[in-house]
Amino acid sequence: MRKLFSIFILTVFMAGNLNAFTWTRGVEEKEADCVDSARAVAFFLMDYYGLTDEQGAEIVLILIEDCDLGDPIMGN
Amino acid sequence: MNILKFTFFFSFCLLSINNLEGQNKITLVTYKMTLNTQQLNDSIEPTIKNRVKLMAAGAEFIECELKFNNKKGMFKQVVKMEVDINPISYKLASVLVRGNFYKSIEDSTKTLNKEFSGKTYNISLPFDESHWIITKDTKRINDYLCYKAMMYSGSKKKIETIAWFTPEVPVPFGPNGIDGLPGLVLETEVNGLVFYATRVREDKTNGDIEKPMANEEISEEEFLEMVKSKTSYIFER
Repeated sequence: MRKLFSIFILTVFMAGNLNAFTWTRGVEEKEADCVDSARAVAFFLMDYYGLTDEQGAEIVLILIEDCDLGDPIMGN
Repeated sequence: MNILKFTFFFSFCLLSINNLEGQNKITLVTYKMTLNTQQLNDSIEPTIKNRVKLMAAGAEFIECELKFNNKKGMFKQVVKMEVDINPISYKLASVLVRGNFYKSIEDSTKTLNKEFSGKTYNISLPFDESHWIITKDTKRINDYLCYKAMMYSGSKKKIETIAWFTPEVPVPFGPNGIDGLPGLVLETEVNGLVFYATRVREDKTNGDIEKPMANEEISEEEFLEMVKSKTSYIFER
C-alpha cells in the first residue's frame, strides 16, 4: 500500500513538472516568435519605407506590447 | 510740397503696418496621411504584410498640422483623445510621424522634438542640406500651383522623396521634416508614405510659434548613437 502511494505521488510530481516545463517552453517560444516577428516588421519598414532606427525600435516595442503570450495550457 | 511729403510719409506708414501684419500672420495647414500597401508583392511574408496593412489602416486616422509665419514653422501630429479604430493600428501609424519639427529662418535652425526612452529630446538637424532636384512637372493642390521636386537618399535601398511645393506661399516649410524648398510643401511621398494637405487657412488666434521644450538638447549624431546603443539588443541581425 505504501509502495503504491509512493508511485502515485511520484507520478503526480513528474506530471506536474512536465506540465510546468511545457508551459514555460511554450511561453518562451511564443515570446521568441513575437520578438522575431516584430523585428522582421520593423526591418521591413526601415528598408522599404525609410523609417529611422528609433522609429524601428518604437515599432518593435508596440508590437511586443501587443503580443498575446497567454497561458498555452489553458489554450489562450 | 507739403502734400507730397505727407503722401510719402503716409504711404511709408501703411507699408510698414502691412509688413508688420505679414510677419505676424500665422497660417495653418492640415495634413492627412496614407501608407500605400498596393505595391507589397507576394514575396513579402504574410505576417509582415498584415502588420503593414494594420498600420496603413491607422494612417487614415492620423491628422497633422503645420503652423507658420514668415520666420518660424512648427509641424506636429494633432492629438486625438479617441479614435474609432484598433488602438494598436493607430499607435503603429503614429510612429510614421517622426516627431514635432520646429524650423526658424531667423536663427537658421531646424529641430526635431521627440520623446524616446522616457525623455524628451530637442535634436538639431541640418537647416538646409537637402539636395532637391526641382522639375517642371506641375499640378494643382487646393488651388495652389505646385511644382514637383525630388531627392534621393538611403544607403541600402534607394529612398525617393517627392515633394510638391507652391511658390505662391514662399516659405521653406513642409510636413514631417520634408522642407527647404522655395515654397510651402503641400504634398510629399517617401516610398509610398504620403502626406497631403487638406486645408490651408489663416490662424486667427494670434498665438506665437515657440520652440518646443525638452529635457535635453542633442545633435543628430549624438541622438542616433544613443538610439543605437539603447536598441542594439533589438536590432542585432
